[in-house]
Amino acid sequence: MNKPDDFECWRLPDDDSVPKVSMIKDQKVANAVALVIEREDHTLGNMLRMQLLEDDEVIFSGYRVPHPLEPAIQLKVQTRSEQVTPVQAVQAGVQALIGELDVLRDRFDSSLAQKRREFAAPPRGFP
Amino acid sequence: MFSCSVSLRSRTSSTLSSDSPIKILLWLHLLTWSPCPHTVRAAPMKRMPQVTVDELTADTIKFTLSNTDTSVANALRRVMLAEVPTMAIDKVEFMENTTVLHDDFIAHRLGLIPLTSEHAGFDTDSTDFDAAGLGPALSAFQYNRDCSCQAFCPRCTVQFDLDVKAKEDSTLYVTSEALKSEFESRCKVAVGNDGENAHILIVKMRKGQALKLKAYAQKGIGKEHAKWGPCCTAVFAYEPEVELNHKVYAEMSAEERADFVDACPKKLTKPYNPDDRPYESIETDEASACMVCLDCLERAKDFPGIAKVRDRPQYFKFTVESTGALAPDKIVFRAIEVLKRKLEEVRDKLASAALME
Repeated sequence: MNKPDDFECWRLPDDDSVPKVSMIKDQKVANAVALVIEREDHTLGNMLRMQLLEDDEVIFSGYRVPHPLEPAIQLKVQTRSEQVTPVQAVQAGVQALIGELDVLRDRFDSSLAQKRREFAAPPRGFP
Repeated sequence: MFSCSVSLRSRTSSTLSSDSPIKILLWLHLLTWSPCPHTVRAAPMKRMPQVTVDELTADTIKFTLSNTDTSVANALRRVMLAEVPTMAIDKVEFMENTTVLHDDFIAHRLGLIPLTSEHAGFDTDSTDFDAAGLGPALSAFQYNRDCSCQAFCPRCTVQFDLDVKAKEDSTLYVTSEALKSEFESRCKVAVGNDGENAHILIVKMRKGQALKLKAYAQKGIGKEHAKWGPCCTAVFAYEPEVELNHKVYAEMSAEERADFVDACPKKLTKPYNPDDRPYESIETDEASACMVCLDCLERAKDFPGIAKVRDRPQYFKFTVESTGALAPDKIVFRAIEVLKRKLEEVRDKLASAALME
């Protein structure tokens, strides 16, 4: 029937027919861009949006899932001036999040090691 | 330039007289360091998340994540639920099935059995082969669709065999224990730690029935099918925060204070002992047990602003429970890795998308 394969919800087709990220410049608003990110959902969309709102140069950032059956999100970003383009803002935001996750992993790791030292972990049923 | 120095003056002049040489030095110092907004990209502030592991057992982990945004906590939760890769039986070949359950039914049940997924990680490129030549012993499994093989190979698939015949008069319980992996060090059926229920029932048989099949386990993620989800539970809760306005509390009579404190159905407020009331202040030891019922505020309606009861911002208590496929701490590590890879992919593809414009 017309139902797409289950794995289509997270894998791009092997023939590169669908770009992961595509960009639509807003014709009416200055310094505004809509990014379409394929095969992503609220997980990434909301995280990116909130991170962009932390940026002083960003005056608008929002995301939506245009259609619930299509595994893509749309991220709209507008910046204050031409000095910082929306793409630069997104790049800075993504970079900040990657840095944050690195910190998160390291701190989780050290806290876990400390916990294991405090209480010898019970015998584990699986690796 | 001039406007810049004026704004700095207001910042530094509060304690120094207008002709102080120190002040002029300060000016110069600040001027050389003043950021020029037209050349320097103001990077977004980097948060420094804090993590504390509170509890760790063989199948659950509880930890506190703080100093980060809800969106990050939620992304982590969503990835743990649906996007950490694991192994699960995906294809089944039936040789014989005379049980009461039809083939599809059994295939579905097999799919839902958790398999150890230590090797369902990310380092798929390692070429270390094990001595038996069965396949790469150390590297992670490939996704079947990424693998260079025609149909199945040890790089992407583990075969399981099940061959059971009921010969006794009593009912035979066929459990996940009967499912034998071809390559146990890479992937096998996860065993629970609760004694007689450690294995999962697949089908019950009576005398004369038989089941013989080959099952193929492959790597996948929970987004495609829930059988690939590594978690039974992945939740975060906010921590309640209770703040008392001491000014308003001081205006209350002893009776009113007792009434206010007793309003809490969990009696979490101090002082616990009625004889000690009214104290100068009340506080809670166990705000985390507060269920934000707001009964206390309801009772003290005549005293607006007596207390603030709210969720503590940027503070999340996570509980993650594993199905047995992955150790709970591994689930968290891998979820962070998956999230990071997503972001890196967007970063790299964004650069090329921007070039195309």
